[in-house]
Amino acid sequence: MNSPNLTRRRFVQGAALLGTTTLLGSRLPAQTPTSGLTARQLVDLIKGKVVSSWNEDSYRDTFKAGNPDTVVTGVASCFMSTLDVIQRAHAAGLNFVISHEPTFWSDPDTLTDAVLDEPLYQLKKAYVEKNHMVVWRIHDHWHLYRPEPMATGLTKTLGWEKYVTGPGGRTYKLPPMTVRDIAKHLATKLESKSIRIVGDPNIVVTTLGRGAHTLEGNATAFTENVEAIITSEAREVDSIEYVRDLTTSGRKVAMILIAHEVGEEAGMTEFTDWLPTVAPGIKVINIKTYDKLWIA
Amino acid sequence: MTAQEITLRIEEHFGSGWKNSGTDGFQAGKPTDPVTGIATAWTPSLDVLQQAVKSKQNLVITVQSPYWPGQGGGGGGGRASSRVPSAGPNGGRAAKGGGRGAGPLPGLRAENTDLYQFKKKYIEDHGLILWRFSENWLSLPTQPRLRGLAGALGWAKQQDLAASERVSLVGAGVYALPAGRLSGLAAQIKSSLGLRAMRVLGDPNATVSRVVVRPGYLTVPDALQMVRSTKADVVVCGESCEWEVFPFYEDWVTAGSGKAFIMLGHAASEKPGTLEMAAWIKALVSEVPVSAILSEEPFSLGVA
Repeated sequence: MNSPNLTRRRFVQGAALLGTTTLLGSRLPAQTPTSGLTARQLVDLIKGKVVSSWNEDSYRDTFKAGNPDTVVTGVASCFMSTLDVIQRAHAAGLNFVISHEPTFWSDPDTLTDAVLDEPLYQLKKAYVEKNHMVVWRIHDHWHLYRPEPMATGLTKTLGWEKYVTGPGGRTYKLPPMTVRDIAKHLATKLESKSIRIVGDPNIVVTTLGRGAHTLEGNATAFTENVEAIITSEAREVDSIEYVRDLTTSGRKVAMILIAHEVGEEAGMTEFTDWLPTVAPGIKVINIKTYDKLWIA
Repeated sequence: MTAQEITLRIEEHFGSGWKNSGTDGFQAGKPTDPVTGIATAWTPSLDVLQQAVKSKQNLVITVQSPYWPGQGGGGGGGRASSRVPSAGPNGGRAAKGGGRGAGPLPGLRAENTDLYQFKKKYIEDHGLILWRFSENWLSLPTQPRLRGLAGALGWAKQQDLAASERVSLVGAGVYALPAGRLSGLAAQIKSSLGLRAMRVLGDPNATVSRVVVRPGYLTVPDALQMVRSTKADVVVCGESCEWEVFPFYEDWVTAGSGKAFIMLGHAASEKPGTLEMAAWIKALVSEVPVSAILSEEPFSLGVA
């Protein structure tokens, strides 16, 4: 018992073995059918339900910080486990952060020497551990759930369920409106101040496509009979320059670019609604990441 | 003078330092054709090529290549070692399958699009010669890309040379400006560069003074390096990944270690460097006219 880490691990494991009442009972909300679960036990429940077969080789959908054997006091689902989101989860009494995107600033959360030496890494990791929190990521498998939750969430947030059409529901048949009007609607519904347009904002749209982060996805979206597409985060050197060339070549089309955060935030609200169906009574709250960018 | 004679003269200037990794070289056209004029540009977009045709500049020298290759194709970042982010901003994720975006997408590759054929034909029909000058251009110790941007921002005289030296390997520079509000700094940058859609993270009322600047696409290793050794409170770059570099700086601001992160836009951040490239080539090649064609910022605002 001379190492503080060992002490904490034994304490937490003990709590898991004994249930919640003796050691941690006073810190927990009212007893529910799934109270007392550790983060690892909750993840096992999720794995069995979200897809028919879980890919254990996924480098994305793994534990990122904290001790997975910690008893869950509540789940904070979020688009991205930023320090701000983790702090707000803690303030809300939620110790298990389930994030769609990385924690330590690279897609595989690679802990390179530079990251390990980075004071911000140490600060973030220490914050999670000190507050007995756990961070886990669900990315690939949540995209595989059907109907695809990121698209479902975005459509619901925009109030566009009745407009969904096309192969795979990837386009919206809208009452005629300009690209600029669509951008305004997105800004309001998605609470974003950073929406940008490539192409002519005055184009009238009746068929709106949904793009992707990749050039392949966006080029495909433009093969449909669309006047514009919405894309959340795409690279300038490929997708943006492709659309610039497309408009120069004479196609009357535009791309509306929204921040990655707000494009997928609603998809994790879907997760918040789904989790209690596999873990009845679980306390789960969506903590918004927000698009914090503003245009100068 | 043929295109090849011109590019050989550029290569000879580098001597044994010329890098031959496959990034730089002819992308289209006949190297043996005589050159009527040289245009430099960040990327050979169709509008740039149309202007080149109009001004009879049949050799177009650019940092990027013509068919939208993505970041992994090089030239987006700084030095070769840090050019590709952890998984590649697009390729790594797309290749993994079932990963990015909403639902499975058929992968329509660039070379299979109608636009590819259209652009290829335009280049051929107008006898344009495209030469990519990226890796070697960015390796110049005089850092013309950074100098161009700092000059356009009006900050050249305020460079902190000692701090800049610590980030010179990632193509960045540090500038000690008079303390002021972030909102004021952002407004100054926007008007100096003539931008419409520059994006800013941070409290507009925060007091800021020390800015680290890196044109182009910023990767995670460079992003960490840029704030570790410079004591900067503002980071300015062209573009970065919103699930990698951006959240690093968001955490940096949340933790109180820094104040702001500004993304100018990739094309916007490379524009002044294009002028530097024209001047640099002009000094080597006096036989034909040389001038830059400036790619305009591709964005307008969703909400005016």
